[in-house]
Amino acid sequence: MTLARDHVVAEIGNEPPKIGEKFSPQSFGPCDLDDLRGYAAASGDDNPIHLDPSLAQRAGLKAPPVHGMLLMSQFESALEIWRPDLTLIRLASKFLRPIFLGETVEISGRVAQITPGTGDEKTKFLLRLMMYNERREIALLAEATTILKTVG
Amino acid sequence: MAEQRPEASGEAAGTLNASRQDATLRQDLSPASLRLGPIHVRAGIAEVEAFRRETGALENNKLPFTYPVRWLTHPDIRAAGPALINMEAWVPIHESQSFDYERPLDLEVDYQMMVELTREFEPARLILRAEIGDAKPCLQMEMILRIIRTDGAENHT
Repeated sequence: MTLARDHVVAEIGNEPPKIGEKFSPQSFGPCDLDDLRGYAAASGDDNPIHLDPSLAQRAGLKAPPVHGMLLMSQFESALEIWRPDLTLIRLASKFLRPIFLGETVEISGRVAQITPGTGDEKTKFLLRLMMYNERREIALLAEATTILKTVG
Repeated sequence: MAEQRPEASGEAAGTLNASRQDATLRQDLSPASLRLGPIHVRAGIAEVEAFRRETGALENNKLPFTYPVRWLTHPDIRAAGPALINMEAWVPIHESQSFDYERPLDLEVDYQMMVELTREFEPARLILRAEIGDAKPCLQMEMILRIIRTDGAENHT
């Protein structure tokens, strides 16, 4: 595997997230064809556009793109590093630009909104997450809804 | 195996929600839409470990958040796509994806999945909406795929 991620030390104390709190960028990649074959086998997503350079070209792409779901899965790992006190309950992502083989991406995020809990409803923290390509263009734009982990 | 073939009509569909009580193995909703299920799904330890390894997920005893997308590659769902697309040479490109959990899913537990596939035109898209649960709903997923032709024809239908 060539997958790599900058494992930064969790940067929070015991304070709940605050609106505007930003998370340190993390990087992921680059992926090679063996990485994509491995993900295809593990996920069942063997769409040939990710595995066959000639087919990718016929679809108008310069090279096979990394599976969108492999990229999206990195948000969960990033969150675990940024805020291990949060549990992800909803994640929605738009795939705006492809990430190609050999590219490294940068993941960043911030707390966009806090919805106080009422009754049995827990306080929800809405995070805005971005994944940038090497040209600093947004490739994935995501929203994550999180709650504080239950202790014990 | 993480996935098993779906059962025939309605045996357990009512456990998900009332609107799905009349679910059938393959129910045509319109010329551009159909419904599949219940499909029995289960996150086996070996499959989850492989998924965790390939995504670089951190080690813990939870199901990786995006793991259930694997269940959308069930053979019956894969077979339904081409029937709705009705083109010779095409590939799906992911436009958007969402996971909305009401409750966590557990390892080595059987769940049922209902799936609705909808074909859209102009632009060409395939939308998959899945609901996974047991006695209660656990997860809703939505996957939107853009359909790209690979035979040189214009990509607008």
